[in-house]
Amino acid sequence: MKGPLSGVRVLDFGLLTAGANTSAMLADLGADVIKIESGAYIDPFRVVGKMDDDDGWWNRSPPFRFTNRNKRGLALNLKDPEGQRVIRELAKHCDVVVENFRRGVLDRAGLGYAALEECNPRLVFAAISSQGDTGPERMNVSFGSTLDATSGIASITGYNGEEPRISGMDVNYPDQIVSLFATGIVITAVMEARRSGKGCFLDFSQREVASFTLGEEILAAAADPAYRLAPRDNGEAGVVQQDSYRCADGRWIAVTLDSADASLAAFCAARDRGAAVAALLARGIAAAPCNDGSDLLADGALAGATLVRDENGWLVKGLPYRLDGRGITIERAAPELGQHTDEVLRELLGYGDAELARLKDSGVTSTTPAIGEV
Amino acid sequence: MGIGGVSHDPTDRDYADISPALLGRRHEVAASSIIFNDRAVPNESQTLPLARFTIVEVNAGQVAPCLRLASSLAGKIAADLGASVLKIEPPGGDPVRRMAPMLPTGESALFHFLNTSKRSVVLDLDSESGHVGLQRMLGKADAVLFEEPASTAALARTSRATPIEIAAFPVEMDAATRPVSELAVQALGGLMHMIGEPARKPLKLGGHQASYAAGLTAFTGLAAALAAREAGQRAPAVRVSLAEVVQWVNWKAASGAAATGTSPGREGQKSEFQVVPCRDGHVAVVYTVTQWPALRRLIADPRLEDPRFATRTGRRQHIAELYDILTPWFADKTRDEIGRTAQAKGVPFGPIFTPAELLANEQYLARSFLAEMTHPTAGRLLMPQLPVQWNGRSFAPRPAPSLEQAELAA
Repeated sequence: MKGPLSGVRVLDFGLLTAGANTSAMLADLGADVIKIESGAYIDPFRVVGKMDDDDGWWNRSPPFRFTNRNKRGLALNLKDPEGQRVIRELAKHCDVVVENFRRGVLDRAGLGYAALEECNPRLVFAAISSQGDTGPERMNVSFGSTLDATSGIASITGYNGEEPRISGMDVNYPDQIVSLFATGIVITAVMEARRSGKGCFLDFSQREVASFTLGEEILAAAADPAYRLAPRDNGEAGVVQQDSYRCADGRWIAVTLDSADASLAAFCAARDRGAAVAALLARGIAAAPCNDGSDLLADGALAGATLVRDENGWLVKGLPYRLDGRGITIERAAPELGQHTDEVLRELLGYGDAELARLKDSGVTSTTPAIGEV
Repeated sequence: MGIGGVSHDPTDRDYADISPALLGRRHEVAASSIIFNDRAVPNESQTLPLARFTIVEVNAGQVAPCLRLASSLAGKIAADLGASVLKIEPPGGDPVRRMAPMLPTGESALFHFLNTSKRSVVLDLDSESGHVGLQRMLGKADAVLFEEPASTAALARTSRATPIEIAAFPVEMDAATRPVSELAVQALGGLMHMIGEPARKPLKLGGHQASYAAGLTAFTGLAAALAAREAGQRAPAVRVSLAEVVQWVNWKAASGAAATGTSPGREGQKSEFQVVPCRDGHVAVVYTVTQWPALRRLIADPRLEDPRFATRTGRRQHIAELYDILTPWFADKTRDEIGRTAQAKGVPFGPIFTPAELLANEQYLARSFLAEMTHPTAGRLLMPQLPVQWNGRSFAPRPAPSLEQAELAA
């Protein structure tokens, strides 16, 4: 497939969602993404989604598969000087680096922007971190919902008059949106690098991405000390009546009304979910079931381009948009640990059997994790 | 000069500022000629990464606000990055100009945030002259952002400009005729099912998350289209639906349901991550499996050594007992104190801040994340700038266009 990013190669250190998914979105647009892991530090998604304890468990994690399809996978030990040297060689053949390690980790391995830029001045280096690369909190750690809290989103989420709420570990909302923005910025920087021959360092703060989605609230609060926190619950300023309502079958629907109707709760309570939604839609009222994951799997029309199957039949992440009306075909399933190490080192660096054997024997490359639990 | 030898003629491609000299001479010159003939471009935008691109953002009259917020956000990001973004407003102005939250001046904070760095013109797209004006603009633009169902969709789809369409639903779902609200989209995409107490009603995420996530997506689609054009390829038409974006964001619901046969859902007080009160507010208790030992050292309560809490499964089974032990630790401490102490031990607890409190946040101040601008009618404004620094550079937003200017330009 020739996509908008065909010809672009990405050195992907991305982990979990924020980093790995930015690279996945670049892959979906035609970039050649080579994901770097290490036997000593595998992508935590291989462990978080662990399904069994049998040999090869690290290659069967659904969240890892969801996020890393359409990539090739290498395992090179980042702590070994020889592994570091190989990665610097690879960087000469790449256009983009994506990483979301804690700040300083790649620098200590001699693989930070300064070192890689020296190898390849055209490199666009996307560093995605909790708080950004500067400032007093740059070394802070966070995990998904930490940033619901610190960004302001939690403060306007929750039941009316009760405590704030976070999106929680099965959503980790702030982790999900960063790649939607970062991918577009990386593409913009790639265009600039093509024109100027010079790359750049892109410093993304995930917390800032989350706060950016509350821009109008921050602006309103700054302009008026008396501005009151936007209320929680399901209402919305300027909307007459809006909430979720329980139906006769115990399931919930969300409804937005242009004119208030006190009988809506009773109307919903008297009907099953599907009937209530259909009746409201027929009256021109915006209504929808509060779907769960099983509902999403069952409704192919609704799923649209967002879910696809890989060559092994496994369900994986699709596209958040359509390009020419289409979603994507998965060209390769998520890589097993180190699956393409030899292939890529032969192809890009011209390594031969002896060199590859030496790297394997010295533990620089591997196909098994050195850890059991992460 | 773009890659692939695509020539670039600034006189042909750049919208110039709507010249102040021309303001006040409405009816004398057609909008399109004002926009295309004046070559005075602000100096700063020359050096911005998207300065060579022109984008038309079409705001038709009758569109669900949640779609407008998405298209406006995508246009704003491109404009802050230097693209020449021309917003076409319906007669009377974009209804977002009247949407909450409001500034003390009576203007909309929502509009001011979503329309920075753009220029704007009021055009009646139902009129023949409006239609012709749009056609001319599209003939010179690189991309056009518009919302479904828009009367101008057919025109947008067949113009020289690459179409970036914002819709509520996937095409397979009677997308154009189904009534839409942002809440319904959050429900449909499965996000509401994830938030709240299991026995109580589902909740939405605060803010306009469905619209904004879709706006970020549309920006990335736009960037991909521009990259394809510049590389001499035919750019793909991009279509973003809010419902697909919410499902995509909420992929763990589908992934979890497919893997185990049971969908994840809102766990409320049964969740491993909970919100607990502290001396001056609330803190989100968040930690990964690897951070559990660090959390134990932080709280330093011997009861946490109980074997029931040794594994994640055990902690989930005894979650109420676990929180009975954890919660008192927070009660007499402030959010700042908790945040600092926890980070020092590598534990990612999240102090909960309001947007107003973020104005004084040290990290945001150190990074100048909140940009100050003086707006001709709204006065001094402070708002988040694009959440990226490019070789240390931020992209300061420029003021949103006033309705008076947009009407005069018509």
